[in-house]
Amino acid sequence: MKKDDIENIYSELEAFSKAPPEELWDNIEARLHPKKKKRRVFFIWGSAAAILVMCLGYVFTNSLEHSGKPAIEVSDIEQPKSENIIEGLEERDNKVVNGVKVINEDTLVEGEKVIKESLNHLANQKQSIDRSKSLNTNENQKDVVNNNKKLEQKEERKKDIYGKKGSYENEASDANRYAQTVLKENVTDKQENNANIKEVSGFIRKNKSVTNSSEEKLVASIDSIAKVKDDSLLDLSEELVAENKNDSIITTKVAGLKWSVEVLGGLANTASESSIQNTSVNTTSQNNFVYTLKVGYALSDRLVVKSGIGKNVLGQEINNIIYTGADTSLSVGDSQNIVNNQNILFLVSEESINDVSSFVEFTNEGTLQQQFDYIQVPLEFSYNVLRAQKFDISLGVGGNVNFLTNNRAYLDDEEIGESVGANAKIFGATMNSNISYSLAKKTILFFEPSYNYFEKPIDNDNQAFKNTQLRVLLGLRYKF
Amino acid sequence: MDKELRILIQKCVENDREGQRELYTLLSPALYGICLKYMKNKTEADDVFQDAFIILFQKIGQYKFEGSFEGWAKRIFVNEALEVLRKKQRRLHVAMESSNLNSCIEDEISESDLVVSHSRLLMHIQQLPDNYRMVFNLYVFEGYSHKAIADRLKIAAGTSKSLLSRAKSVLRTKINEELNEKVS
Repeated sequence: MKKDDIENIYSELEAFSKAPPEELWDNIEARLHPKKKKRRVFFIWGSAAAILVMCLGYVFTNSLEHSGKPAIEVSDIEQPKSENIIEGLEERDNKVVNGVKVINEDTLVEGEKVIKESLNHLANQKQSIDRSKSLNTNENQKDVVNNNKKLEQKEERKKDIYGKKGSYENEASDANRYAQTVLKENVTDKQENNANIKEVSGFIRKNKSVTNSSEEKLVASIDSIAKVKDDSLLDLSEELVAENKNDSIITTKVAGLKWSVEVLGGLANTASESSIQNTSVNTTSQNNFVYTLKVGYALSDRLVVKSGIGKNVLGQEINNIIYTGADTSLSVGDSQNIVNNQNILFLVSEESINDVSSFVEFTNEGTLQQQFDYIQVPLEFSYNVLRAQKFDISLGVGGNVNFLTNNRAYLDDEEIGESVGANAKIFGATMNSNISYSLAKKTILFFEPSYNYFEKPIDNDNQAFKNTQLRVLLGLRYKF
Repeated sequence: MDKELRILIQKCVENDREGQRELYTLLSPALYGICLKYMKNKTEADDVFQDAFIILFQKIGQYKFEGSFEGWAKRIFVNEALEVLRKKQRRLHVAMESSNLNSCIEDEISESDLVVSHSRLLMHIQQLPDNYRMVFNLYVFEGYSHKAIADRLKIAAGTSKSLLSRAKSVLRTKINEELNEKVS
């Protein structure tokens, strides 16, 4: 064949074309339009889980909030300096009486301020309610909810005022009369709101009828769409085949994911076994909100090692503990204080109670709460024992190191200082189970109940206790 | 430009599934032909074809409605094929490779009365070593000059000339052998 002939053959091939196999378009289309539905589902579930975790956190954190009022300073009471203990005690009793008077006067002045603030607040609320009345009827629904909230706040204020009324009766009589007037106005407002609620109920009934008719129309249009879809059943099945192919590719990729990151939070119920001055004490368990961020690495198909950082709260609540205002320089048997407040001495053992009763005429009984906040660093191994299509169950064991960040003690809900002898670093052990649900290919919602043990948050000559903790956590895991 | 093609392109810019399907139907035979010419076998051609079409749909918004759209699309496919071959060469560190693999196109050849069928010629081109095939395709089918090929493939213009000459020589030998077999 001549050279020119070959060149001609080449030029014929220049316009060479050939129809590609049909499946190539399916692959291209699947890559151009990846499924978005599951992302939406993930977004909805993820948001729901995040909101749930935040709500739990808020509820449990809020339930533990203390009044924040300063502790009543017993330090105002001067301690006896006389060598004669009996004389000293008499002198001190007189000063105690004087000291209490001074405290009462200060408290009354403070109470007067509180009432004035309450009244100002109520007056402001009244003005805002008046403004809300002037809004148009479309906003009535919102106003009803807001006004009801305001009324609830007013009711709470009212309770506060009545609670304090007994103590501040003389000073606050004028203020109370004004408060009663405002309360009467509140009742009137409430009646108006009830009328608004009736109006809103009417709207809701109308909306329901509209919704029902919309539903009927929707069902009719779905039927018509289904009919059209029947005609193109072949196309649909082809699309599904393409999707399944992609799924298998993605599943293979997911199976190869080694790393995971998870955020979890929830309730921790902490119980304690405690002794003070070598005597067991009666304690109540406490609830706290805890949270953790963990990173996991899959050592094998079923075994995962995890570590991370989180917040942990331990402590105890001791009921009916006897205490007295005392000079700790006085020798009270072997008793040292368990809280770093020099003016309160806790008495638990019979020996210490007898010793103190020989020179102190009065003692009090209260509830002592000791709370310790930690940064927790866990190390856990989790083994997958059951694997279904969407659900997984794993069992885990591990340990953790807890670094003390905050140490507080409360007597009858008033902060009195820090617990003495708290360990800056404690170790714990954990056993957990993890029930997972796959929201998307890489995103998993899980529920993790666990049992934890912590060794000696406090260890000194006077007090020792051990904590056990039952956790119920909810979390999200992302694999990558 | 054809008004219908303009509308089709606009639909693709808006990521419209039906528009994409229509454009694919319109262009895919010619573009698939390019992939078959540049790549060693059907599997490689399929991969390049899919990847290049994804690039085409992703970049279609960049087309300014200046010049031939088919030419614009063709350049994407040629570039993608060259890129894949370049990566392959780098990976294997092989400048020249023998092509013992049979092309799948061979299976589809029907024994016709044509002296040298397109499919047969395509098979011979596919059996060329990668660097021969690249230079041959760019020079013969795309109309590149040796200087342009040298710039594109980052080789010397002399090397391009040499590779083209060898490619043509190999093809000529194969075609002559084939014809001689038929005559005998």
